[in-house]
This record gives sequence, C-alpha cells and structure tokens, in this order.
Amino acid sequence: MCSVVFGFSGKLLDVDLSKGEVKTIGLREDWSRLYVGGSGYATRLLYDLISKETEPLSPDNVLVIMTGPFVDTFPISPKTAFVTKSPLTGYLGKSMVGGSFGAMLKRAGFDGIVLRGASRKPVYLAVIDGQAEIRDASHLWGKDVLETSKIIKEELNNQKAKVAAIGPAGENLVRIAAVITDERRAAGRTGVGAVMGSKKLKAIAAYGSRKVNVYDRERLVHLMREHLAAPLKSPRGIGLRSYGTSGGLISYAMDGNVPIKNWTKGVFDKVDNITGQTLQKVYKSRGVACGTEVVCSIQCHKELQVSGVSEEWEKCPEFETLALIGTNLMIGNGESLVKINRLCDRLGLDTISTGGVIAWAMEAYEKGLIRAEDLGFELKWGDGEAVLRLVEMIAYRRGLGDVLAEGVKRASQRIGPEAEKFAIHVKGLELPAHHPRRYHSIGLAYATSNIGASHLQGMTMLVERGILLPEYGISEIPKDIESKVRVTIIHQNLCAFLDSAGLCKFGVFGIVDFNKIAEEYKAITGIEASKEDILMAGERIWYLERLLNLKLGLRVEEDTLPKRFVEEPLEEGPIKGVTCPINQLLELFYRYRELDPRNGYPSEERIRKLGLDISVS
Amino acid sequence: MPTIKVRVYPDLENVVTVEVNTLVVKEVLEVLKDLLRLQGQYAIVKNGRILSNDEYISDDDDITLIQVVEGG
Repeated sequence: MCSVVFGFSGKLLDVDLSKGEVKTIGLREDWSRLYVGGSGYATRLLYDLISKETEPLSPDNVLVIMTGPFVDTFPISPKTAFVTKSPLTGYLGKSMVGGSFGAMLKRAGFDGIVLRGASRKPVYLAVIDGQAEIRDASHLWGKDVLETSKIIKEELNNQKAKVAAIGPAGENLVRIAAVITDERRAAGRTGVGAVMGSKKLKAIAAYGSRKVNVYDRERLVHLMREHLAAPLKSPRGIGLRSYGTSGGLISYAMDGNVPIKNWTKGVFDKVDNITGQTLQKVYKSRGVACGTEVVCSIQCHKELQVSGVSEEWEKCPEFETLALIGTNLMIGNGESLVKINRLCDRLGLDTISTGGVIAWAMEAYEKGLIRAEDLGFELKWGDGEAVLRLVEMIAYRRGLGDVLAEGVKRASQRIGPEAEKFAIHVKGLELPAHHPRRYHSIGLAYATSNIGASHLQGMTMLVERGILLPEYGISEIPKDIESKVRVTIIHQNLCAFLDSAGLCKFGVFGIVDFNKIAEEYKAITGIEASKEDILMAGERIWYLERLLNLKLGLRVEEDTLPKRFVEEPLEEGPIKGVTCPINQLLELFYRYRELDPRNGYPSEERIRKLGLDISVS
Repeated sequence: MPTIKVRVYPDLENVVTVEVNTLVVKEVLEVLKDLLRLQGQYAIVKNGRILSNDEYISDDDDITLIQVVEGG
C-alpha cells in the first residue's frame, strides 16, 4: 500500500453492491510498477477475485474500472479501462473508452472502482469530490443513456459531472451491451454493459477538482507541447484530424480491408455513399475532442447535423460501425447508418458486435435457417429499416432479438450446426472490420488476443499498411510469416502497455515513437523507463492476461480464426483467392511466445524473467 | 507531356486535367499533392483498386486521389 505514487491519486473505491457498502482501498505501489495501471492493474486485481466457476452475470463477478498514470496528467487522448469476466467469452473482458469520465474520476480522488456483488434494486454511484454514495436509480431503469445522463446531472446539480451509463441493453443482460460515457463514447466490447446491468448498477457519475501529483511537471509540459504538435506533422494525424476513423473506409474498401456480406464478398458498389468523406460532405460536420477535459490536436470525434435524424449534433459513425453495420450488412445509405448508430448508442449496444450478429442473422435468413415468421418481417441484405427494428428487439430481448442478444456464438448454437459455420467470432467475441484475408497478421492478432477478436489488442494492420516501428526494428512492411508473427507479438505488447498507461493508440502509432512515450512515462511517474522497458511491461501484462484466461479455462483450440477466412477465398475484389494461413502463423507464435502447444501455458522461465508476481502453476 | 484526368475524393464531379512528366504512381502522387496543395497521405485509385507506388498509369488515364486515413 502507499499514499503517494506519482501519476495516481493512490486510492480506489471498493463497492459491494450486495451489501450497499463503499470502502476506500489503497493503490498497491508494487502492482502500479509491474502492471502500470489501467487494464494491467485491473487484470491483476481481477486475477485474485474470480475463478473458472464465476458466472459472468452473477453477483460473484467483479467489474473493475481503472485509470492509468496518463489519465488526467497528460490530457491528450486518455483511455479508461473497464475490465471483468466477459459474458460473451467467459474469459478476460476488457473495453477501453475515451472521453473525460476517467479524468473526472481521478479528480474526484480515485484511480479506479472495484464493483462487487449485485444490488437488489437499481442504483447509481455518485463519486463527488472524495465522497462516494450509492443512490436509488429505480426512476432511471428503462431509460436510455442520454436521458439517464441528463437526469443524473440535474439531480447532482452538476452539469460538469461525467456519467458512465448503461441503456436498456445492459439492463436486459444483452451480452453485447456497452457502457456509454460522456453521452457518446462507448466501452463497447466484451459485454461490460451486461455485467453492469447484472449488478443493477445503472450508472456512475464522477466529478471533482483534485490534482494528481506528477514527478516532473515542467518536463511534462514540454513533452505535452511536443506531443500535441506531432499529429499535425504526421500523415496519420492529418488524416484522422480531417475525417476521423470514418475516413478510413474508402481506402480500406479499395484495398480489400472491409467485411462485406458477412465476409463473403469482395466488392460493395454502394460504399461511396457511406464513407466518412461523403457523410461529412453531404451533412454539416465538425470535429471535436472525445471529451470536454481532453486536449487533443487530432479531434477524431466527428459530428454531423442530419436533419432527418435530429436537430442536434449526432456522432458520425466510426469506421468500425460504417463497416460492420454498413458494408457488412450491405447498407449503402448514410442516413440509415447515422440512425442505427444513434439507436445503438442510446440503447447501449456495441456496434461491432451488433453488426456481426445481425450479419449472421441475415445470412441465416438467406439460407432459410431463420424465417420471416420467426421475425415478423423480412431480413434482407441492405435493409436499414429492418436493422433498426432488429436493434430494438436485441436491446429489449424481444422475439428473435432475445436469441441475438446472446451474441453470435450462442445464437448460432441455438439454431444448430449449419448456422455455427458462418458465426464469425473468436472465443465468442464478434470480429472487428479489419480483414484477416487481407492482413494476415491481424488474423493472428484476432486469434491470439486475450479478449477474443479485437483490432485494438495488436493493431498490426497499421504495420502492414506502412505505419512502422523503427524504434523496435520494424523498418519495413512484413511480408513473410516470421516477420508477421514478430510484428504481432510486439504490437500486442505495446497495446497492452498503452491500455494500462491510459493512452489512446490513435495518438501514438504513426504519431510519436516509443522513446517519447518512455520519456513521458518517466515525467509522470518518476519511473526510469526506456522503450525496451515499455515493451517489457506490455509483455508482462500480455502474459498476465493469458494466465488469467488459462485459470478461467482457456483451451488452445480456441486460439483460432473462423474457418471462413482459412478455407473460403473470395471470388472477386482486391483480395480474390486469398486465405489466411493461420496454422502456420500460430505455430510460430506459440514458439516465440514460449507457449506449450498442448495446453497453451507459457514457460515458467518466461514468466520468471518478466517478474510476474503469480506463477504458471 | 502525358495528360491525366484527376478527381479528388469525394468530389467526384470535379475533374482536373493535369500534365505530368512521369507516369510512375509514386512520382505522380508527389506532383499532384504539390499541385493541388494536399496534406497528408494520398493514394491513387483506378478501376476500384489502389495502385501501388511502383505501378504505372497511362496517358489520358482517369484516376481518383483519395486521402488515406488510418483509423481503428
């Protein structure tokens, strides 16, 4: 335990919702050094608190919300971790969210919150200036995310408070439910919203004005100025500043890097209608930082004014949404996508998983495995109105929506073996949009990510597209199996570090190098770190996550990709005829990671060298 | 000198005719970025496909410049 660790407030809230008790616990300095903070620290906490027998949607599960040392000390693109046992995968569940909720939690005096048990009635947690109080939320249950945030701010008489809330999807234990913070940012992945719902916790509001100590403020201010200027000189920063992630769709589509028709087609002739460039040309648009307390020169959060949707500024769908709900469902109408995106956010649904499960349903419908009588309407590719109806059915678990609310893995198992063949997921988590046939290293990253298919646990498509890491010896685009495996391992480790430090990957890869990140880390925490130390810390966290999953029952055969990418080449488009050689990639990955191919466990030697405070056994 | 027709995505209606002294994609890109005062990374698309830097375009080709945005 410690009272002052640079970069942290030094305290966490420990909330037992079954007993209605709130305690304060100290931050462990040894863990903040070993596992950095954020998702690494939260995973270490979780390791001691859950087991293979813990049912994810029971009071026994624990949800940890945790900030890293960069959050609110370095106001460029902060990320806060939501970590739990995932109701989708049964393994580590993790979702990182931008915005200012984490910063406000720290200003309220706490680095994180450990949520245990489950309340008998709906509640919300108000964390204001060093005090935390569990409040009744019966009047909020059933309300959408925006209404919830608005009412809570009014009740607290504090418009500057930041709220993390679930919508009806989380309340109804929809396994693809998100937590929405700052009214617009989603901790979308792995069903963290359902875990919050299972605890009858509608929301958390945070506000405070405390400052966290940093090791060398003068140096940090200098480094911040340099970091803020970097995106304006970098092609990646300029691109994201121009259009946000939505601007990626057009070049990815021309390169074969998008899902089309549940990953069965290589060309979508309406893609021009839904690119970020088109949406921001057709509608009035603006770019803002992801949170009011965020100082970011990229401002990748884009908003649109779409008169047919609402009078307010609406979030421009991100690339992942445009791809998973647009091209993957073959919806070529921008207004439809803005409406679907808005509905998902309000109801608290992850748009990636929602797109994945609806694509599966559309294919099942096409194959006659789901009928119009089961749905009450037809479900044809490209039908935005049908998708809007289905999104509501999922969030409220109505009709077939109750099956889809289970996520694509469980939904397909309910329909039968024929339907399981085209359920696109890894370990139960629906695939993001980057294409394993196009970039084989992203296929490996999906197969071996500790949370299931995630593009943010190893953003190797960036390297295959030329955003290199010369400071780690990656000076050219990987072409062969060996270099793709090496790149994947390095990227996984770096992403694990960034999720723990609380830094947004958009503000790092292709923007600043890791020598600079190491300097910033030292200026905040006082911990002497080189780029090698950063990589090693990330590696330690990756193995910690792996060991947690093994403790929870992970089997080696689950480190894989859906057969569609391995056995079914596309018949058209930029990646016609290509499949992902996942078995060759995995064989080398296991060797380089020193994982036993029989049971997936890492070698004791590797764990000892990395200094983890848990053993392989 | 060879002439090419260029559109800058998403303004597909506006076609600019440009004389270039090279037909190598990488060099054409540099010329066009300079001429059209474009910042960031761009790619040339022809017939629905991004051309690689070492490919060639042809005299009188109709191409589209798109800004490459590396999102998440």
